[in-house]
Amino acid sequence: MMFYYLYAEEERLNIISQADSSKQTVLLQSIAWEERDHLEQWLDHLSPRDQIVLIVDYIDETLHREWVPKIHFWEKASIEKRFLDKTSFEGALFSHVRWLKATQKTEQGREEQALMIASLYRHESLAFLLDALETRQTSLRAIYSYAFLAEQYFFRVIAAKHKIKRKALNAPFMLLIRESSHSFRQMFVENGSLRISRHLELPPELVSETEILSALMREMDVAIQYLYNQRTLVPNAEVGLVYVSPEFNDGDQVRELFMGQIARDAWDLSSIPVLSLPIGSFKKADVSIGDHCPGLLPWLIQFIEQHHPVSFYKTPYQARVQKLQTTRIALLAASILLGALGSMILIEKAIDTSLLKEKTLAIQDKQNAMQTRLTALKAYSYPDVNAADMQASVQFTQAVTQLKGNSALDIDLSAIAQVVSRHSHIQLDDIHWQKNGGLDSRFVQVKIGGWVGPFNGQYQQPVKWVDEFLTELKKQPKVKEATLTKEPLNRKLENAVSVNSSQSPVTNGLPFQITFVMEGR
Amino acid sequence: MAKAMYPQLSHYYLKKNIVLLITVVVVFVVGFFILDVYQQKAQTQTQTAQQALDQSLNRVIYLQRQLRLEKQYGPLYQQYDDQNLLARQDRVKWTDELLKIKQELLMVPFTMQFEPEEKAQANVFDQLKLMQPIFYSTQLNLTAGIQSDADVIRLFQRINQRISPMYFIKECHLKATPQEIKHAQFRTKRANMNLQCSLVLFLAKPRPFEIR
Repeated sequence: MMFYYLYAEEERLNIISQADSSKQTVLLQSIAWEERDHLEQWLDHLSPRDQIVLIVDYIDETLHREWVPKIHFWEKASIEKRFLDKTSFEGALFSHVRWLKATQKTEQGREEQALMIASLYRHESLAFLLDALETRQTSLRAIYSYAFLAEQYFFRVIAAKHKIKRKALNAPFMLLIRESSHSFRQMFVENGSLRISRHLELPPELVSETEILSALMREMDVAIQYLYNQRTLVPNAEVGLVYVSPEFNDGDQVRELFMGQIARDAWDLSSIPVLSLPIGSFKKADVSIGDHCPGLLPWLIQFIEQHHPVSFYKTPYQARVQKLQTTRIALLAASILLGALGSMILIEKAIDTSLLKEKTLAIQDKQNAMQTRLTALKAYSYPDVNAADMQASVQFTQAVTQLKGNSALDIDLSAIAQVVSRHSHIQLDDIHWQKNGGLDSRFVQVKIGGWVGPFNGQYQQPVKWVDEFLTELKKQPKVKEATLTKEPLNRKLENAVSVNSSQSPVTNGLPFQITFVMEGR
Repeated sequence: MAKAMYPQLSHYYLKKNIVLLITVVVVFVVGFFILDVYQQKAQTQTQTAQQALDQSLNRVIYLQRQLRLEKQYGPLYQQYDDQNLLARQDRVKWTDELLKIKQELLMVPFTMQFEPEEKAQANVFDQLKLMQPIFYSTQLNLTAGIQSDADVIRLFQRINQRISPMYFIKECHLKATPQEIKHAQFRTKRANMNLQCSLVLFLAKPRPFEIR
């Protein structure tokens, strides 16, 4: 992959690239536009691998200023397109729209913003070159305007490295670049944006440095007068100077001349820059182009290499190259990302697998130890009965014997018999008891039935005897909730009183029934 | 026409990168599946080994527990077994002994009836726990003519002593014979009272020891 910087000017195309033998970027060829065969011959050896950067430097590059109504930023694209279409229709090969900081109010009170349209009209030579580059499917990465490239280099590199204040950069000044002994680039910069650019070629008759510089001052004066006349600046307004001379050591001299001959006495230069900036040290040794090209070009090429500024002019083909490049980077990024992610997943899986294998080995070790213990355990003698069942049987037996204690019955019959023996009118003939709850319950539900007598036609006495019996029964500590469920006489008035004496086995007795809960043990 | 002569720019920019992307994807997918097979295999091996280990461990625990429990309960078990205290009763013994007690206490009439044996349910008890599923229960329904209420106590005392205390009285009904209420007296042929009882006998069937 080779980088080719094509510096296109009025007469010739200069091809700058790395020389085959060294790493130095040098001028390979300089082909006049008329030598079309020669040019085609060179173009034919290009391939898609070769990256082309085109720098155009034509005198007729125009910078035009327009005022448009102030609009929102999302509406700006359509305005830009309108101006680009317009210049293209008027015959421009390239055009570029730049929004400026300047705003104004019209007489009607409408806010307006300035924009600048840079355009280069169709040159047969350039059109041919672009077509040839597209035909050969070269990678035309960017198209720069020499003047704007210099402007960007000044603001992004020179001004930044010399730490020039923003306020000074926004003031109107002349950016003067000495490109060779007799040629200068004169640029008027206002509000941080290039306004006018001019190539200044002094007559070769001037020999001494003094002659050259005084001629330069005259040209400066003319240029400033032009700005006043054109109403670009208010007459006699302050204009600064920033002098950049890559290869000549004349900075102080130029500044003195400017202060002496150009600057008016009335000027307040406190916020206006008057500087000469050495930039020789900014360039590394590996770009050296020789005398054919402007002196700043090596710095600009290095600037492109290091900063990759956005293409100033755009053509459909260049845009396509750009898009392909973006796609390629996206694909590469996707591959790297997927590769990294994929390897992480695969590595994790591999680690998991090896950990599992280690785990299996550890388990098998434990298994072997366990097997040894098992063999040792099997050597003991064991009873015929499952020991857990032994335990259950023993515990059940213990629980039952403890629950039962010494008593054979879960009801205290003698306690009931004692109460009965103290009541001569009461005789029992029926006792029924059952567990109150589960089989292991300490309580039984008891129902006793019997007779009260003698009954001689009067209910008062038997009822009293049963009540006395019940009262004493209730006093027994083991007896709870004793109730008379069947009275010798139903004293509840809502039930009919009926006594059928023939049913009674005891001729002179009345039946009754009591239920209660008894603590058996 | 001219364009066809020269290589396409898009080929130069995209071909290699698309191939690279596809290669990355393919390598990843293939690698993933190959590794996955290995991982699955390793996982199965680990699981099998773990299962075998768990099984061995359970056996060791089982045997150790057998030894420990045998040491703790074996002598008592033997002692209870000798004292007939264990819930190991059989119907023949119950029948024989009850008939002897019937003779001694002159219980006339006397019937007994065993209901079918069934697995003991834990919910028949309020508190008592059945630790192992080895317990069975049988209901025994007794009917006996007895001379006095003191015979009820004697009857159950003898059952406890001579047969087994491993039962519970579920329900009893003691009723005097109507004619005898006024003039209760001791007679060998005729009972003064009638006793009906339902007993629940408990029965344990310990499982034999086996090395699992």
